[in-house]
Amino acid sequence: MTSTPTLESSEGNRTFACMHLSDELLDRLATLARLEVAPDQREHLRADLQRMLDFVAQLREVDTEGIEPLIHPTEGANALRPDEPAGRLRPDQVLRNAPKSDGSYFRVPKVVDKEGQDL
Amino acid sequence: MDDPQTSAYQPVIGLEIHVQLSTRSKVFATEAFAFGGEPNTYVSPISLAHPGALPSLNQACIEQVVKLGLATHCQIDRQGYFARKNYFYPDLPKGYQLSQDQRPICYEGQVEVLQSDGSLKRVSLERIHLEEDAGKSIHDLDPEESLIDLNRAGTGLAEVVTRPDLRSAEEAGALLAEMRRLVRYIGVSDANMEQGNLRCDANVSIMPVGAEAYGTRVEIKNLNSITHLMRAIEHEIARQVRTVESGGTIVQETRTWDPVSQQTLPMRGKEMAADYRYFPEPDLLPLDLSEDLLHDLAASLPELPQARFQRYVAAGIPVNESFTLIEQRAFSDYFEALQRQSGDPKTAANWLLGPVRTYLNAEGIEIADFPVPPQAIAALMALVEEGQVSLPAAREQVFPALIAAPETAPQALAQRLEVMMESQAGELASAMAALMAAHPDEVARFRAGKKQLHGFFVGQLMRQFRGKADPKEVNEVVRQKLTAS
Repeated sequence: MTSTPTLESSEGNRTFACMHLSDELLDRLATLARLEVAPDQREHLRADLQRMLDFVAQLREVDTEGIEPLIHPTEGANALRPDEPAGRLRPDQVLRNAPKSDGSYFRVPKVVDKEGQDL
Repeated sequence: MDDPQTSAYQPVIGLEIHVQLSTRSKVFATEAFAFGGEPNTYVSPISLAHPGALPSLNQACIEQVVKLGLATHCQIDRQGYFARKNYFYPDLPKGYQLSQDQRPICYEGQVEVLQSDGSLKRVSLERIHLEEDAGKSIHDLDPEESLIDLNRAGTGLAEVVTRPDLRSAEEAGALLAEMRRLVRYIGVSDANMEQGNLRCDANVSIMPVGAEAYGTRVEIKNLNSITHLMRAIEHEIARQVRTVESGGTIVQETRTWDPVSQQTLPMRGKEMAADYRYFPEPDLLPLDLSEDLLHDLAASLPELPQARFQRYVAAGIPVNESFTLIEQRAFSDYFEALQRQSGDPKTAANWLLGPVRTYLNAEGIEIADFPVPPQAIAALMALVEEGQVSLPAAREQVFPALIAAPETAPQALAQRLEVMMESQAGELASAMAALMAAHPDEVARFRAGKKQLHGFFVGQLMRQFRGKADPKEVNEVVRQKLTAS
């Protein structure tokens, strides 16, 4: 069984360097993003993504040995708010931009079948 | 597990428990949340993921997760931070869930699980992290479409991940019950499973008894009651044993429990391994929790249910009764007050688990709605203890009167009901003397060896005092008088 190409998910992983954006990987990314990529868009998209990967590969060349990972670019921590409820929207405002709703719920194409299983 | 085939295998189980935190507002969004609200009425632009809407972290959620971590002996990572877990689902408007990946707030904890026989089973926790809940999808109201309610989207969840330390469905059920009790005691969640604020996934595998390497594990999703959890695990173990025994192999997969057909079913559409592409959340600053905060939170923890249980058992209360006493915090708190004021834990337990609980059950109410304060029950216990009211009279007459008039002193009620025992030994003694004078034959026959006539005199005396004499005292007076030469 051939393994599905994955974008390594754990932080700090170094496998991006010189990664080639194969057809398989493009398909997988499209599936993860729930996008349908038209055939005539593929080359443009692939070139775009490849440039991003190359850029990251360039960053990867910097020696970061022994340097604390930078989790957030700005200084500071603990931006916490007190537990006090603030404003909420009216249901008609909540649903205003939905492609489809019934005044109470968003309505979306069926995502699971009758038995509660994912389609 | 009587089946010899099944008993050749050792089940190995770990749980992921989702605890919905009981805060007034959501974790990363500022609106309130209430269970059972009209759909899409607790929603803000943050929960809707409108462009430019930024998360805003609720301090109370951090504090609750830390409290839960401290109560489960976890290490606390004071410099934790948040991560995006990327996946698409209609009830997750952002396209990612705000969660924690590399640095959960709590890690390496343990829970001592109280089992029904009173013994303890230690279960290690891998981590407890803070994340947001998704909205709710309703699939069975419309044949063509799914309905989405975002009220729950963005509410705070603590996810508790255990090590695979559990070895049976019973142990898994006991752990979930323990966690439910714990989170309620420390006030971080209502943990109402019907309302979905305590949910559980189970990882189940089997290995031959005596083996050391775990088998391939199967994840069972969305178990929303302790019974479902236990049944699902039992059936999944049996299914895995059948599969292996018939020469098959266990596939690593995600299954759901179907309570109607009583079996686990594979979830389709999950063939592609999940790829969540976690990365640190740029819209939230990292945490930097102070030692002082941890200190204050530790100090704010109440006595935990298990410590109470141990104390009750040590006081001589039977294991099953001690269990019942700690099950609910409010009930246990009432007992604490009652035993403190009466100074007699065993009798206090008898009162609470006897007449009080019978009354609560009959009325269908909780202890919070019980009108009689603990000090009144303690006063009634004292009347019995001092021999002023008999136990049956206290239970059958004074107790119901007390419920009807909780402000009245039990002694006043006992007097009004004429059940105060006339406990003067002198009166009893002279009444006994008169009785013996009236029944010389019975006295002679008793002294000649017919000892059961003791009961005749006790009965006569009790009748004379219309049940208001202390039976112990009557017995004693009769014995003394009859045996005196």
